[in-house]
Amino acid sequence: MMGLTLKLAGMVFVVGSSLCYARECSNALELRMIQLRQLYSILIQLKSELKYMNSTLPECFHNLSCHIEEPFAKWMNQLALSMENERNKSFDVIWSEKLGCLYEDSVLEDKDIELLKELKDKLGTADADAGIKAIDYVLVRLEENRDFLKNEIRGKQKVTLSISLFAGFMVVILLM
Amino acid sequence: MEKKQEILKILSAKLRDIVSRLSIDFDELYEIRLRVNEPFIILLSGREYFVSERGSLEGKAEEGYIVKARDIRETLEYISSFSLYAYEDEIRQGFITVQGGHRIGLAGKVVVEQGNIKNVKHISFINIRMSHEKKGCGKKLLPYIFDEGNICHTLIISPPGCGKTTLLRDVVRLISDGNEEYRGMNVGVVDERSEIGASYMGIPQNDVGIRTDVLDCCPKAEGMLMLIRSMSPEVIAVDEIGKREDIDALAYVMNCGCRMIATVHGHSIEDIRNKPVLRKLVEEKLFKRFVVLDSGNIPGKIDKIFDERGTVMFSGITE
Repeated sequence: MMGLTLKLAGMVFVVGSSLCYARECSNALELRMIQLRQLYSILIQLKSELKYMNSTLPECFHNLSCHIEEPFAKWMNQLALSMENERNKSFDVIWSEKLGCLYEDSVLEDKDIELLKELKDKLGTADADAGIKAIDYVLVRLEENRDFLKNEIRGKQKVTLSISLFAGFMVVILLM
Repeated sequence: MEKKQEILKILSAKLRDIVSRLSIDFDELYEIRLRVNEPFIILLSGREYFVSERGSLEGKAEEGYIVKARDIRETLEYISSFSLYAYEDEIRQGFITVQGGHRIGLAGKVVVEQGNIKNVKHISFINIRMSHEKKGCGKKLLPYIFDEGNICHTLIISPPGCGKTTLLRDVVRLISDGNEEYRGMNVGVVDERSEIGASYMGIPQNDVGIRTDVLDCCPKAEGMLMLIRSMSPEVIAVDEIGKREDIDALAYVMNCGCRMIATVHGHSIEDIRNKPVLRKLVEEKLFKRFVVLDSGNIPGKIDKIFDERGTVMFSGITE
């Protein structure tokens, strides 16, 4: 009786763990969706700062960092500080380095962050229009990534759940 | 921030390394000249020196560090905080003012659109003019421009480079602050070329007084009218009047009861009388005081002060 109880408890634990893992993967997909939306909004705000406020880049980044959420607030703040204090690097080097912050702290994928690298040569030049058009291009590509994810998210969540449950039950059977 | 730090902050890494090794008094440094593929030159205590890569002052051009295109490019990035687009208006005017009030003159290929200068690109020449205040140089002038407790309309006449802006700046400060003898007054300054206040992000880097409002980079004629409409100045100060619309605006300001202090390029009152646009200033006695500066080596040194009739009130004030 004791043995049966323990086996049942073990089965519940294994299947529960696989369900939790499936839930974790599903959350990551939803979080990526949210962060893509946040990044989209941040780039629109950046575009407004450049177009209407005519602020310098450190000012833009500092202003944005004050009212956006993590991990983007940290990224913007690091950019602003770096541009103010590190007077031995060009903008494209600083921009590329600080994108590392997004790789570490966000759930965005490489293909999302790689889009931002397009801006390193366009922001800060004498031609403000070039910078704004570059942001527009990145916004279009981000929108495509979001739409793709939106279409895929349900399917991916079901597949992840199914595979996790299947794996859980397989482990239970093997252990039994 | 100290002058040296203000300059080091905007130079490229290589130039910063060279300048940091210079053993000079930065208060005596007037200009830093950077030209692509030409020697690095500074103007120190009125003398020109070539700066070597070791950070020493040399007399021969061959010993000077040859400035590279990347030095100019990097320096421009730091001057503009990596945001050249934000300084489009300033670049079109040919200069940027940085923290500390130092003026960075720029030259390169000018882009013209429909007859107007749109931009300057391929910037290959930078002239960093250090900001210098000479507090107290206007103190001895003050009693001659005050009459019965009020400021007289005053015109400062001077050849280029003789300190009229330096003198104007100090006079503005003294009038604004006031003292035991004269009460402080609200002064409005139209600083078209950002030389009087040397404003950085709208904040004057020079001391222009506690009751002074500055319109930075604003055309003089429009600026005078804006100040009259919005800031209730008792005195308005402008530098280098010369256009017809400046004179018209000036006359309007005087008619509004506001006192005027202005500067103009010239050697004497006769010189001003001979210029068609400026003749009216003398003949119609718009100004009550004419201050003629000495064209010698001491900036702001006054040669003569005249009243509106041309009578010499004082001659040869020295520091």
